[in-house]
Amino acid sequence: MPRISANRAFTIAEVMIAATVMLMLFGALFFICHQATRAMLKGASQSGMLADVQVLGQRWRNAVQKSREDSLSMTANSQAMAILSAEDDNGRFQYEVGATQPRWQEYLIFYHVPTERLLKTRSVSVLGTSRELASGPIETYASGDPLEDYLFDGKGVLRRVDQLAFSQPEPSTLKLSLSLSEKGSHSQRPESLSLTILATFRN
Amino acid sequence: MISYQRGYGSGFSLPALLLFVPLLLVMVLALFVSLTQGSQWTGRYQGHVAAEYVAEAGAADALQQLKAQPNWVRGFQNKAMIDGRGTYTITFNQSGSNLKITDSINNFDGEHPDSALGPETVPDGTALLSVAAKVGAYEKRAFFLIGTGDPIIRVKHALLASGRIQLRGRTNIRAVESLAEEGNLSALVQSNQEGHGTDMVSWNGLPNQLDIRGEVRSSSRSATAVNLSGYVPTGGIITSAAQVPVPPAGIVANVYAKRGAQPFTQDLTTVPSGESYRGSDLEVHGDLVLEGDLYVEGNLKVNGSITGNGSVYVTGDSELYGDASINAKNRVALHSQGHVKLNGFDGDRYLDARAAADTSDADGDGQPDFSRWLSEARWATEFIESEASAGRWGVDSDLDLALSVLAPGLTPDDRASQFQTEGHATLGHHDVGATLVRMKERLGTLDPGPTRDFMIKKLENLSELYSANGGVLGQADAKAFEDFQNHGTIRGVVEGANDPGIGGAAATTEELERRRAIALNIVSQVNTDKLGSSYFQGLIYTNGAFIADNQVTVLGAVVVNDDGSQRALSTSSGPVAPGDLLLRNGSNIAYVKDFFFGPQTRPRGPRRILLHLGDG
Repeated sequence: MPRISANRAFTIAEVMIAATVMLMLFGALFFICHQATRAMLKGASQSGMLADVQVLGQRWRNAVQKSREDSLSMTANSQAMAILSAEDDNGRFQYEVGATQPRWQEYLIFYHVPTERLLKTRSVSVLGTSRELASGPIETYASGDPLEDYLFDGKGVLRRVDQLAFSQPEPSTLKLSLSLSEKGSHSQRPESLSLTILATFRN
Repeated sequence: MISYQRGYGSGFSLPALLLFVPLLLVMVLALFVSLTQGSQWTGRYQGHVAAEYVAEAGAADALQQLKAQPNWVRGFQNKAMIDGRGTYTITFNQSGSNLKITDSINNFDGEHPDSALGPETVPDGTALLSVAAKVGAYEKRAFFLIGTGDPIIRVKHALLASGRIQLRGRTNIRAVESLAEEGNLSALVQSNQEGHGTDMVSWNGLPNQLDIRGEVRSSSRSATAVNLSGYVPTGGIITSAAQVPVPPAGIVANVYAKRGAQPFTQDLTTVPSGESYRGSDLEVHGDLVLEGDLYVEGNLKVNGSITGNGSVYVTGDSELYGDASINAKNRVALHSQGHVKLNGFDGDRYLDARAAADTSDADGDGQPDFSRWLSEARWATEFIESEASAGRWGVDSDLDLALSVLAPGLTPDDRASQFQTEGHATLGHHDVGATLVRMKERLGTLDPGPTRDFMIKKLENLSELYSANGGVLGQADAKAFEDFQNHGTIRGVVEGANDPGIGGAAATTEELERRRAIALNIVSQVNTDKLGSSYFQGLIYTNGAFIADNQVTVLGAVVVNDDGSQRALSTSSGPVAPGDLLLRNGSNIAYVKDFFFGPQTRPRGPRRILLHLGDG
């Protein structure tokens, strides 16, 4: 009977089995770790996009609520809209006291630029014109240019916007549907978020 | 054996443990962070939305309180929602000072127009609500303007101008509680223009032609800001007076907002109930009768008067003449962004011209008939007002007998003066009766024209005012006052107040006093020596200049407020600046408090949220 030494080396089979087990364990570990990281990044990405949309959505809803339906314009492709705003530079709602009517300050224009994946806004002042007191769509303002002619020089307010559509599902209600996506750093598949926001004209 | 077993069992589990535990920790941490972040966003959004709805609930609750109790200012302090999720707070500050953005203001009474947004930011008849909502850790503040949307302008001044007030010729200014109640008030006349300007309120005319029963104020600091050629009003003169806030009328905005209202065409002369809109200049031939409100995007010219009950908003200039008769129910609010010209008919000049031209002397007394009728009519109207003011009423009193000098006393065809038959030699030889009817009949033989037609209507109306109820008008005394109460008509009011019980049940002492107060008020408006005066009843508000000419009597008030939108008005006597108020050729103003603070001035329609002013 051969003597078994305490310093005997592992057999090749033992080493291979151990290595296989180790590889499997590390593989599983890597997979879990990768998935966890992806989940974390996905969560962070989704949270970031959701936060951005919420901020924009709140701003858009506020603007619609304080505006008037008869000032609404939308482009045929539903990618842009304009409404009147009665807020001055300090964010204070201006109104004509004697008539309890809003004193309009500017048109607020929201439009999507697909090539830049941006939702942009710009404003067109109506101060000093009869439009201050008489609500109406932007097509009937000043030279009567269509809304499409105002879609430039806007400031980006929401990034990563792939698709966007303004619509009016029923009177006094506006709907904003948008899809955002962000390419993850650990994945070829982009993270995406689709949301619909409703707002009602209150004035 | 032992060492082998030891060597084989050690060195693997520990590294494995050390490797797995941090990884597990990282995973758990990632999961926790992700979930927490998502939860936070969701919670924040939910709290935000919930607070928004709680604020809406608070506004709805306050609206109900204001509907039930217009002077409600108690507010809410952390009032809980029914399901307990969230509270709302509304705090009123009616002091007018130390106003904060968190303060709500109730200005339904028109006495609290200021808010943290600035002076005059809460319109009359509205309430500004600042609602603080709290749901858990989330708070939201929302602002609402509550009201009926029925704009009201309440003024306390007979004349209020941002520029100069120029009075020319015979001018009377007074104030009364209402056309139906006894009670003279102190009339207020004010020029709001600050600085050191002189003659901000001025008058020139012949001695004793100015009568102001009230106070004249100017915001100018000049010692000669008020120049009434030595006349001192009963209430005195005040210079360096505080400016009176002029309530904005929002005329253009009001008109623009009504572009969708029912169209008012050129051929119409009656504005139907509700709201009517005219998108261009409007010229009305004859009277414009209001049963509703009219919005004109352009100029308005009425070749008669505006009567009835309603409001007119005009983005341009307005020009009208005046009404031949008084009707206590007439209440017009004319808001004109441009200038307002109130042309009378110069009826007295017309009558004097007729008296000079008409030399027929049918009774052969050596005095032309028309001239005599005119002088008798002037005497009698003045005498009756004087007797009524002194309270000398009664059957067969001098006042009673003097009525027959003006109008028939026994039958419609009666032309006799009871002064003659009763022999009041001490009061003079007033032996010609029904002079108003006689003049009306004589004018009827002349060619028609605006002033002739106006005077015929006016003389007929005055004749009915002084006629006897039973034999002439065919009605009981009580019916005269019933019609006055219900329809504002003044037929038989004077005789009805004098002869209680003729043609009906005797009036009680209280009823008699009420009738006499009404009669005195009406008689005072007739204005004795101004048979040719025309009337406007209600409020005239303009952002341009105001000119009244040719014996115009305004029962109500005139507010002239230059807002910078108008250029000077060219007249034959020179330009009149926006904000200036010019009364010339014998105009009268009688401020009627009831028109602005009476029960009929309550806002029409249900209270609702007029404006959603946003969130804070």
